[in-house]
Amino acid sequence: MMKDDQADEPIKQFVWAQTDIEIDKYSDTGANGELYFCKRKVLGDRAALKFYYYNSSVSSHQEPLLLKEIKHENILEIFDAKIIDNQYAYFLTPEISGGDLHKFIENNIISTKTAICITQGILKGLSALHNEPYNFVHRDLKPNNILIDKNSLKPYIADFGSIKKIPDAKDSVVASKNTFIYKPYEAIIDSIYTKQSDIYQVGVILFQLLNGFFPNAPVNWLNDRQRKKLNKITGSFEQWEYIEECISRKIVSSTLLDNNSLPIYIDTSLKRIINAATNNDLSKRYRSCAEFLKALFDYSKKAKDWKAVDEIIFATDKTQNEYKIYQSKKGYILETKKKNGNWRKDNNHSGGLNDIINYLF
Amino acid sequence: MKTLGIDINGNTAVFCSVEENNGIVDITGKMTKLELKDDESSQEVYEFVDVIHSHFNEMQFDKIAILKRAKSLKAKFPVSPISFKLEGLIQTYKESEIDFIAPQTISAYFKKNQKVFKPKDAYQNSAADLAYYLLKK
Repeated sequence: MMKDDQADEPIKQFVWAQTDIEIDKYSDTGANGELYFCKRKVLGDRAALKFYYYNSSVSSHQEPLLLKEIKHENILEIFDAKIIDNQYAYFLTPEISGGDLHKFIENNIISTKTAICITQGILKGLSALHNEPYNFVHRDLKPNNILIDKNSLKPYIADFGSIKKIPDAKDSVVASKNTFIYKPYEAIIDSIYTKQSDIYQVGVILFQLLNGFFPNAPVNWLNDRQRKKLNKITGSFEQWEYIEECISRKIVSSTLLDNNSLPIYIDTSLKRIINAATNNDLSKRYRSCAEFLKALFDYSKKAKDWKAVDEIIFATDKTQNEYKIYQSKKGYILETKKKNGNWRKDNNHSGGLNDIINYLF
Repeated sequence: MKTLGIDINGNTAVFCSVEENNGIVDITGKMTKLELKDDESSQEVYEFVDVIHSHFNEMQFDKIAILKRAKSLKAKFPVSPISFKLEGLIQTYKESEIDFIAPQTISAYFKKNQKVFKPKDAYQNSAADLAYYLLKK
């Protein structure tokens, strides 16, 4: 049974009346409307239906129209769009098997190589949005708005509710009021949003993919002193204002993303890439998706693929040699495995974790 | 007008892009060179193409050219075969024609015209001369 009690009645009636699709799942996570998933009877594939409010007096079909216009392998495809009555419309897209990137990050161990591949995919899609003739900025890039195929790990930029076209002869638009925590410096200080602001948000996504400290609950960004102050504030609106103020200060002072919270195997070069993508100074931030892509390309050529599983750190190099580091009573142990070989201990280190990781870098 | 000169050296493509905007402006940014380290890795080849095409798309160059090199293996200094692979990969860009300009053409141009533009890094000199030539021709 679908738990779609929250959905509006006309939408539920429409869903029940369908004969060419089998609707089997409802999601209340859709940001600006109801979301159902189905199987298309004739083609046999999975699809998603996103319902939204439709007002004939104003243009409310921006999202499906944009999806139709922009064709790219990393941008969600659109199958169809229809108006169901004078209040509701919907559009049909493929159901992406892994769901959104937010859930994917929470439920999976993501290696550095996978994190970089996903980021590259997002940048390729974003580059298509930014380029002529579109000249769009997304303005709300965050893991919830990226879908991911669980088999190919290909990301798809979705949710175009905040997208805006940069007018000719201008290089910015007004900042969106969406997700506060992903706002770049220039959106807070000058209330502007540029293509580089989208790049900032992709930098934050890379930081999250690499498992840097990025709590979901806004209150968790506050330190003890701030939390005490928060508890003394009455009224939820005032409390929320205070939380936003604290987070703003972190963004403005470049302390939101703490590179020291990244796993020990994230090396300086990769941290430098995150810093260049999220720098508050626009002259130091990547100018374009291509510059960000180039940095990741240059990094990937020499880097090992790292991940941590149950307190064991694994690495694989380009020639498929494998390494694992784990703790014993005597200190840290490094074992290596040549391609098609067996695990052997490698004692060319002092037994310290940093020393072993530096040795493998 | 925006132009891009590409000088391929072994497995590395060196770039210099310039724009005529109240004088000659170097718009190369961080895209100064791109190396294809492992030309047998399909993934690396795809990523190499993605970076280059994404750069071309974003910059919307009016002219793009590669500095021509001797194809003969009997040449005094035979060029790396990987460099021809890079040429092919760059040429797969569909949105704009990729021209080939001989070094002799550039030399002849600068015999009659003064060099007024210097790139950020010395290794970009040939690419910079080519980009400047494209801008003025």
